[in-house]
Amino acid sequence: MTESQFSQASKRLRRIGIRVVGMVMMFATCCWMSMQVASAQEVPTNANPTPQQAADIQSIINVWTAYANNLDSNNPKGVAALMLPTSGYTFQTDTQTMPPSACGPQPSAGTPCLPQGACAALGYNGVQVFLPAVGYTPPHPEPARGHHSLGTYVVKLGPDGTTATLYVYFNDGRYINDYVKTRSGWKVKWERIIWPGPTTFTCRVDWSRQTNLPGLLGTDLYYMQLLSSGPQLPASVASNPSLQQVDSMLNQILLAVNEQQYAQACPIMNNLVSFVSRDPGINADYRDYFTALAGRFLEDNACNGLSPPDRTVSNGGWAAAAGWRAYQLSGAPGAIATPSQIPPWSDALIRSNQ
Amino acid sequence: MKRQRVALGAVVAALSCMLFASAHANGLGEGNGDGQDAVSRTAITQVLDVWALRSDQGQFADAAALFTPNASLGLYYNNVSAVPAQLTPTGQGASPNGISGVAGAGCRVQGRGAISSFLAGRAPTYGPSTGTTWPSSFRTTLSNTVIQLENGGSSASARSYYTPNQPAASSPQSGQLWTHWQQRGANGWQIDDMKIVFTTAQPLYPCQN
Repeated sequence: MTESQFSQASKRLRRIGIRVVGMVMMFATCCWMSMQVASAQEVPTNANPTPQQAADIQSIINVWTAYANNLDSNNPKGVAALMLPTSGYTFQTDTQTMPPSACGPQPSAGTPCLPQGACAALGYNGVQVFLPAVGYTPPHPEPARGHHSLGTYVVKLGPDGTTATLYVYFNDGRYINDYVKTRSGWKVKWERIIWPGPTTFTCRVDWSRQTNLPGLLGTDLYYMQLLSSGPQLPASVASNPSLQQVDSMLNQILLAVNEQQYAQACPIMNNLVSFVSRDPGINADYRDYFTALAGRFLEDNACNGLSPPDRTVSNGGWAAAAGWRAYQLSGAPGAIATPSQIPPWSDALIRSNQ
Repeated sequence: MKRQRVALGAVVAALSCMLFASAHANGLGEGNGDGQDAVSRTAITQVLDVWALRSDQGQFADAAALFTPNASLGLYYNNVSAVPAQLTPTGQGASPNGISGVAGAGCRVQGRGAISSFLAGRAPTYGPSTGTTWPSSFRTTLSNTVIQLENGGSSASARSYYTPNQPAASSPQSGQLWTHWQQRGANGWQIDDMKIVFTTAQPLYPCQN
């Protein structure tokens, strides 16, 4: 081997060596990064948040601090604005056995008692009507209800960063709230007010159809949410993984509604009905009730132009169940509104209440 | 050869980019500035609240997991310097299960297992055995938390107002929760010392089992 050959071989070896070292370093770096990701997933709740997660946690807590302030300063609109237009309160106890009397005398267009005896106030206007009805009237702060003291906030962020649940105590009980991240920030999707024991709190609320915001949308979606994730679900139903997909699609619909992109809500609901109808693992009662609500949603929101993929696969046919129950629930048999009769899901309609 | 160099250069550049993005996403590039401090304060406050919630729910081992392995937890009455003695009947002497008396007042335990046992002993007059269930008796409310970051943001001290047993039908208690914290890499913030400082002499926690 000549000197120049030796020199060339030496250079080649050096280059190879550099590449090998580089590859080893790259491999080690990748391993280290993977370990960081893996260990981060095992971290106790919120002990090591990313800056974005920390910001989300603070935003979610701030929403609920604003809730207490708005509530205590006689600002129902401010309270309602923290929620999705279709969202609101439900009231229950730890054991979810609030005595029926807690619902109080039912006004003609009043709040329905939920199966476990609790009650609800839903929709942008529903919340605004509800609060004065239960005593949040001027002057404020009034002693009985005018001082919400909150503490011990725990935020559980969803895996995709667009959903969250807040656990927080207040004077008399606790809240468990579901949140959704929208273009206008974090909004409450479902506020659960939970008392430690029976209460005489009444639910005399005049809501939904008495308001400008069509309540059917809110109640239907709300009951669908209850059906897919509500606390009264039998364990056998709640454990069905298909319901998680249902809940995810409902979230998409809620988001579309909140963003006032109603045209998107119909096809998603259509797909959802198809999914629920076809999934063999979904409880038949659940399927019937769900498709009834979904059918009413489709009708009330002028989704009739869309053809559900198959109306016959469900138990007895979703259309029959939906139609019958929708009329039964609406109390207006045969009165299917035409698109022109339905108040448009216009921006003006909602803005007029904000 | 030139092509190989270009390829190697691209790999190095991409890797640098990934590392930079990763560091930025984790706030590492922000040093101890306000951004990272805010993240630390959020984490500490959240872990405190998670501790309260887990304790209330009876998840004592999970609550103890929020501490460092050798952390200590002390129970004090009125005076953390433990002088003068303000002994309560249950606050005296050594006890089984690793719970030892602190000279003068209260008691102290060390290690996650002992902390878990200690938390489980809270309010023996409450709880399922007496017919009450969480959170009818247990709603630990923490508020007014003040956090002081130390050592360039790697440790911290915090003080909170502490109301451990709202609505406390028969024996309302309140006090303060003094905690010291360590930032432990990917594990995040963990408590290495907790002092429960009551302003009353009524023990919510027994110092001996």
